[in-house]
Amino acid sequence: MAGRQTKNRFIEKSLLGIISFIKNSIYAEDIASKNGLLQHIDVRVKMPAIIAFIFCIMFTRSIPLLGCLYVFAVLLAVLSNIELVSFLKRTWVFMPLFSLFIAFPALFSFFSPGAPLYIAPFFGSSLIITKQGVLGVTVFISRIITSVSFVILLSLTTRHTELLRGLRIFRIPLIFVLTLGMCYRYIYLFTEMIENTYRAIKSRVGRVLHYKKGQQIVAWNIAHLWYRSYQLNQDVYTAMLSRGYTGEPRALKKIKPGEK
Amino acid sequence: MNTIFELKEVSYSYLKKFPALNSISLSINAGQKILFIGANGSGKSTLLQILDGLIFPDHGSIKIFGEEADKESFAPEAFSISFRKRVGFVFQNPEVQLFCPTVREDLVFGPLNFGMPDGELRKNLDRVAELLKLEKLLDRSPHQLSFGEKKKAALASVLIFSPEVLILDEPTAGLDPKTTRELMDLLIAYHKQGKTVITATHDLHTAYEIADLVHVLGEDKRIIRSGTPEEILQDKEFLLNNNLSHIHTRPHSHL
Ligand SMILES: Nc1ncnc2c1ncn2[C@@H]1O[C@H](COP(=O)(O)OP(=O)(O)OP(=O)(O)O)[C@@H](O)[C@H]1O
Ligand SMILES: [Mg+2]
Repeated sequence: MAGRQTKNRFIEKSLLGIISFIKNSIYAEDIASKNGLLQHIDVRVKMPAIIAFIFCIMFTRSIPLLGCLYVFAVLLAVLSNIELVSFLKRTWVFMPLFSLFIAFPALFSFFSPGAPLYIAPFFGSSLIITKQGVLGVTVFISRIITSVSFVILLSLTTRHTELLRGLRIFRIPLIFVLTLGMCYRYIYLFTEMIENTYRAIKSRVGRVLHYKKGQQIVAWNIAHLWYRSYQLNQDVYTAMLSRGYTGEPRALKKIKPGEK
Repeated sequence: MNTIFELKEVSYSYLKKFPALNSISLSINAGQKILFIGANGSGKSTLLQILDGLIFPDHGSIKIFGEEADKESFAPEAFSISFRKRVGFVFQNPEVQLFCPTVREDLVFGPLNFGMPDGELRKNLDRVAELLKLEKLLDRSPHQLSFGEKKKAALASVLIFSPEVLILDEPTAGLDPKTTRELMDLLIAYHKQGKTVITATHDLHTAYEIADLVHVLGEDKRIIRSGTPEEILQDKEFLLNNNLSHIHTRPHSHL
């Protein structure tokens, strides 16, 4: 009984943890307003520079070079007053995602034919890990981690409104930037909604939630979240109509945000 | 007198299943101050959305500025734009009304759609920012403001194009007493400029100031009574029976 409760609490805790972590990584306005190296560089310079670095990363297979670039990214983070631990956490959290879906299959001979390094039995047949495979994965992981570091550097040290402005300067179509801005807002709203819903449940049922009941509530809420997102979309659209929206975003570029 | 809205036996239901308005007939003239009061779910928000041409009645008819209004009449862009310019709507939930990356962009969203010239737009932006004390918030993201600040930004996004008709859904809900007072003064001043102000609220205290005619919506989603604020607010029994004022089981001093 006690075991189940601790397990329950563990699930609750990690779920909430993930949500607030996502929220904090995307909405780190506090870091963007700190006094640091990258915070002082204009997006119009910062964005192309970082894109250039990412191109470099994509086209090299040299592990030492990737290593240097990674160290450089970490150095930049330190110079920009970003706490090292939280920066590393933010970048490495993306690793399992990428490695699971992309890197892992590349290990095996099926995808990267070459000299066998280790042979694993797999449902009667065998999976062969190849030298080329391991090398490829190492390059791949260093690429991901380094480019993710640069992207995160950019997003952490730039206010999101500035970031959107940067996109607009590079002639990314307006509708895309507008949509991106909205997505950003929705994600915030939803993380907030999940947190609030969770708090509301807790305030009503108290700390100890029966396992089954908890599952039901969570399932219902996920279903309901879809409905709410649909409703919210509808309402926002109505509100846009009410202020004269006719289907095309109009010349928002005329007013430059941030201009005094 | 110049009639702006004329509703004849208007009914509406959501998804053809949940009735929200039941045979509403009324007319609103230019320069009036109209207030709708009613308990939760009595159809106030729905009625205001009908007035703003955002939804259209299932039954009955509505004339806006003397013309029959339905989906077809709103379809031509020119009509729709000229109507939107004349009628501004402040939603009950500011969350849905602010959808741009910054407050500044949200404020100029309407005027840009109406093709307001650049110079005029800047002047108006400065004017409403000062009026509602939003100067410091212009470059913030709307979603990170407090509820009251969001409410003010939503109001500013409409006041910026000075509509002839201002429709407000619960403008004072969730505001502190001082902000409520300032908002009331602002609305009174706006009305004095010859504008029509239509409000829905539960806040009876504000009724004397922002209404010369009050319509009460009942639980059956009909207009159960219309009259001056004095007439209606003095009828304590009527208010009590319609969930519009509370019963003091004990005097407050004993709490
Ligand atoms: N999106 C919707 N889907 C289904 N039913 C709805 C929807 N919106 C409102 N209703 C129903 O329509 C009726 C009128 O709702 P409305 O929002 O107009 O009331 P209201 O007077 O504004 O209430 P409140 O004071 O709570 O804002 C209610 O019974 C409500 O349940
Ligand atoms: Mg309402």
